[in-house]
Amino acid sequence: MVNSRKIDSGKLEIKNVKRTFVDVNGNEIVALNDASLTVNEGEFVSLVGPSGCGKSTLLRLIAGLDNPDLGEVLLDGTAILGPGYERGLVFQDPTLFPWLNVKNNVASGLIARKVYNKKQNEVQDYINLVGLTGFENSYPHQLSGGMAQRVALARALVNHPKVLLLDEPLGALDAFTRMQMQDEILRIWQERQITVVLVTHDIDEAIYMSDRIIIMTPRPGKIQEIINVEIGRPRRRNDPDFFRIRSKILELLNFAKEEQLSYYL
Amino acid sequence: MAVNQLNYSENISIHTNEGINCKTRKAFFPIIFLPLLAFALALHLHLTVPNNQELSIRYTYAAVLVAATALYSILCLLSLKIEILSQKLKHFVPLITVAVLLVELWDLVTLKLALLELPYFPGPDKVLSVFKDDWQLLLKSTLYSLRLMFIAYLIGVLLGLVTGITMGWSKKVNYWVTPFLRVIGPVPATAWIPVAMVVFPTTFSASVFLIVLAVWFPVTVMTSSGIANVRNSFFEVARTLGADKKYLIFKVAIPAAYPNIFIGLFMGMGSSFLTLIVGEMIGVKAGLGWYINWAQGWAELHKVYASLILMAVIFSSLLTLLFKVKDKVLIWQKGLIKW
Repeated sequence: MVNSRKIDSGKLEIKNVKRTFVDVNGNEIVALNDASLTVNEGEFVSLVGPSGCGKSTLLRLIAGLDNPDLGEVLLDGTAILGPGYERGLVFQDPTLFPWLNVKNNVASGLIARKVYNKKQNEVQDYINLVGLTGFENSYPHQLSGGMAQRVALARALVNHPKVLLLDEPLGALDAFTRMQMQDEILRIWQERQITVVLVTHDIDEAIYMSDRIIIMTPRPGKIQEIINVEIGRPRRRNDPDFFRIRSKILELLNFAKEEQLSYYL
Repeated sequence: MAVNQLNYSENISIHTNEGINCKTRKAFFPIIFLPLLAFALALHLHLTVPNNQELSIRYTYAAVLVAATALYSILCLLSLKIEILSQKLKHFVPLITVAVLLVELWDLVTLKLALLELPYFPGPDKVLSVFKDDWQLLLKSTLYSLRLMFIAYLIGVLLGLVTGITMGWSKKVNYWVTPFLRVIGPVPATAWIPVAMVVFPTTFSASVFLIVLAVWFPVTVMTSSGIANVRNSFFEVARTLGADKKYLIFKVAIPAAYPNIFIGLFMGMGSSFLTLIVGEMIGVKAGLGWYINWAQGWAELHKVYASLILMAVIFSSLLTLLFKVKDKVLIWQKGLIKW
């Protein structure tokens, strides 16, 4: 149905990246300081950390929607200077074009790149891939949150991106839909063998899905630690290793200490 | 009523309390006769009550009543077969009934009882007769008005869209055009009449200019604000999908601004009606505004009323048409503005 791509590209290198913003009072806020990270071809990496740790900033830098003040972001050795279809992006809000039906939303990337005439048969493939067969002519306002997010996923995937960037894509979904979507994203990741960078608040989601988890801390936003998730796939959500990794992450994020606990409550 | 309900009870599939069963055929049949009763009553009064205004009946009003009765009867018969039609008809039954009674009241207070006097208050028979006697001039005036309006409205909309889109898109254009818009926009287009008459070679082109101005302003304002307010995430997503500038403008910004643009189109159409009529009064060869002015000059108020009725029908139809287009284009956004 959808051709698998040989893993020979999709390597991301983030080198000593710094990004600062100026807030309304004129104060400089360091959103990301001296961040370095390499994401290998076909790897599934999660960025985890509290608000303000710079994980979304990092994702936007990779997407090319923002540029670093210092350092550089490379895709397969080439500097990223702006957005491009080889880096597909899915936000927490599906951001479907409400004036287009499901089919045309999925096709929008092909139309934007002027390759629709050659590749229009793939649109249906990707609609099928995300399980929305029969909803081709529905408009976004007629879809549930989970369905809309599937469309957003199909819309990003139809461009055959080397890298899929997911900015809390399941954050707004209910727990059951979320687990279902996690499995679907994993299935697509394995089928398509693309590099995935996932930003999430959900530690369990990060453990369940990723090869590596990047722990980030705020003020200034930086990469604190990288954890390898050495659990074989397919993973079980109640695997005992889960709890080990989970407590390690909580400790790193200072949520496991007792005196801190009362502070955050 | 009870008898009718018995007669048609075989048609009913749902039996409910008498109070809430207006959706079944049972209650439909007695109600559907109300307009026919109103037609009959109006016709009876019109033909039997003696006239008090110094006029003889031309039987135009009577003919219209008979034609309306026939039309309504045909619709009733068709509604037996077509469920949607019967729903619609049911909806309009009270309105039709009251409308017919009001027209007959108009007949009574003018022609019949002469509570309102001629020539200021002609009855329906005299007003409707205008359509029979003067239809050639009315038709010509209508066509002239429509031609003027279509040309000017189209130009105004096109200019408004172009200005609005470039303003919404480019900060520089926005900077330079906004002052013009702020200063010229709020001045009613009709205030430019003296200038337009001097600057333009013909009254037709002067009228076009005035209407274009009246349409341009709201369309520009609504379009540019619509485009400026498009969610940035739409552009970001489109750019990660490989969109170029052209795609961002024509496939993202403009469709996202459609709801606003249509508000501008409606406002523009409203002001174009106003400007059209006023513009025609300053001097064109024919047109509805001109017709009203001319009829008033001869104190033929029945002609004024007739052209008012005609305008109501035409302008209302044009707005309805625009709403139909809007519903088609904005199928993805339900219940935006109702008409």
